[in-house]
Amino acid sequence: MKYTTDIRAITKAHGLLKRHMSPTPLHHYPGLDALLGSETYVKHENHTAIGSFKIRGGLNAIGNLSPEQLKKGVAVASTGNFGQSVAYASRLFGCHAVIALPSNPNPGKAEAIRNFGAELMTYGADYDEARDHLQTIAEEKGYRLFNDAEDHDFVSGLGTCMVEILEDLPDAEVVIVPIGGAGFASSLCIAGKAIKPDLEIIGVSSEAALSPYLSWKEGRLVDSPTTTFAEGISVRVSFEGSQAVIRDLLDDYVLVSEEDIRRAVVQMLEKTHNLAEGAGAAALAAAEALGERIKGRKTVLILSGGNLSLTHLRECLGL
Amino acid sequence: MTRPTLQDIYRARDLLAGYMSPTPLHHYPGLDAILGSETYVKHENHTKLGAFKIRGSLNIMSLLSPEQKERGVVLASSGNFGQGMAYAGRIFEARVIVVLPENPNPSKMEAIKAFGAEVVLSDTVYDSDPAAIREIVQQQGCQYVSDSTDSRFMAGSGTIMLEILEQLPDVDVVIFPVGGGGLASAVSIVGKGLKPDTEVIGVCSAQAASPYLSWKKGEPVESPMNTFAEGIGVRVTEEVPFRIMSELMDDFVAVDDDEIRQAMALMLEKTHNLAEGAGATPLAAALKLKERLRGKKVALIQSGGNASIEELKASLGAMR
Repeated sequence: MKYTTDIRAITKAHGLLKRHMSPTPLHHYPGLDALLGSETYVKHENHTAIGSFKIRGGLNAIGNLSPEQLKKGVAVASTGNFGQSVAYASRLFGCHAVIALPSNPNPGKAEAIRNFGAELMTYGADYDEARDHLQTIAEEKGYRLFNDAEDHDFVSGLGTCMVEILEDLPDAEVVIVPIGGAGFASSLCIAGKAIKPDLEIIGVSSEAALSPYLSWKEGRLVDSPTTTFAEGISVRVSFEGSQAVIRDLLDDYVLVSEEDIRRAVVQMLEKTHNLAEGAGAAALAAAEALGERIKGRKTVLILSGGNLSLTHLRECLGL
Repeated sequence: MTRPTLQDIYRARDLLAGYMSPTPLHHYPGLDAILGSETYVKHENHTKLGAFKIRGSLNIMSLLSPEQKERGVVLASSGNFGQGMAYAGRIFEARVIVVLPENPNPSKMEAIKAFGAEVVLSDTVYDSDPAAIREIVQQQGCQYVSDSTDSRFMAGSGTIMLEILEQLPDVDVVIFPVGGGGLASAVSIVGKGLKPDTEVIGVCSAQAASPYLSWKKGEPVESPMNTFAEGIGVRVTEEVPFRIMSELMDDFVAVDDDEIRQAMALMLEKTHNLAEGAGATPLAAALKLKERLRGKKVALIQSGGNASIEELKASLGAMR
């Protein structure tokens, strides 16, 4: 296998996921057509049980564990959509999940993890310390440790989103996808180019979190500080496995400002009545920036997740 | 008009299967923590038009003869029902005439026209037997359709409850908004027909209390309509849904508009879904019924998500 995953693994994941979640809707919005001039579809990853595309990775990763590994358990250091996807899938498949956080975690997030039935482990001053500690524990107890961006089964699950898009809209012309760790984008590219080689796939990141963009542009891994409010695309470092894929397969990459993303959150609410988190609204912000290039074309915006806090929503609305 | 039978509703499900997927019924631990129940939300806001009315509209259209489609249907609704019928009309290539008040909401009129429906403006839509509609029926042979009394519409709406019972067979309580009463009737018929011990509870706005007052009094009562929640904004309760609700509904709750706004904000916070006023009423009712719901499996029917930005801002402002 040349990359982290391939179309065979994604197709296999598609079969597994069908048994555990419904395909998410791909809705056409005339209100967005009027705004953008394209024939505009939104892929609603915010409609999944955890409100994010990451559920796909969690289901495929946990769903492919051996009975022995299911019994031993899994571990992950994330309270965001990634951690929730592992916790959700673990409960579904009857697997013990340990989620590591730094000491004194955000109470809301800790509650969400416990709600999914996962074990909460707090350690250290930040995620790096919590992760190091988790690694030791995982080795000791035989937990399977998951790393979001690079795990083969996890990444393979993410590409099923593209399979669904091309099942629903076989003549899609452009797909716009938010990029953070780039695991999602890489899997979408592999599926998209395998099924429909002339499909244009365009990435989008925030100007306030440049690592994935610079790494793509310069052809080498570049670290860069992040200050974006869009948690889903807020990364400081990039990973070679995913970057290698988007370097080869991604057709274009645009940057949008924090203000563009905030405005897109409001437009998404206004035109589609869906709450998007920052990363989820980034594709709409990119579509606006692309202007003429998508006019008259069948364009799919991937609304990657809807988990926006009310604090951030108020900021977007100027309240 | 007659009431739909379970058979009508099963047939509606077969017809709808070709046009839409079942909507998700998601479990929200964040709501459990507040309500003490095991809380599920039935996401009618995830349908293509963001509201449950797409179901009844598709079902009406699918049951028209080719001749009836050609002559067309006429209705009065600028909201989700109007859009649902306009959309269904385009899919089934049927003529649809929507009567709107003079000076209609321009974006809603555009949405209806964009689906290819004809629009007629007349302020008689506010009357109980609008002259504009009577004329169109008499002169053009169109069929009048309504989302509170048409049994085909109810049959389409009943598919929501079929889905809930498949997704959560041991559901204890189902709470749904009541306006015209079509949804309430359909959900009650399916609930009591298939799982008689399911508690079916309706909720309306205290600022549009006709269905609530009618249910309490045992006869249709008129009441002023001042709610912002368009989907349940009614002044009168029709005989057919009134009788079905009186016979089958276990309880009825009225909530203030301010409680509805708070529920909208809570729905956003805990489920990350935008609910229009009507769609948030079941959550508002659940907050009121908290003690009774503790430990039970409760399904809240989020009937639609088409709230405006202004309504959204008002709901955030109403948060306690």
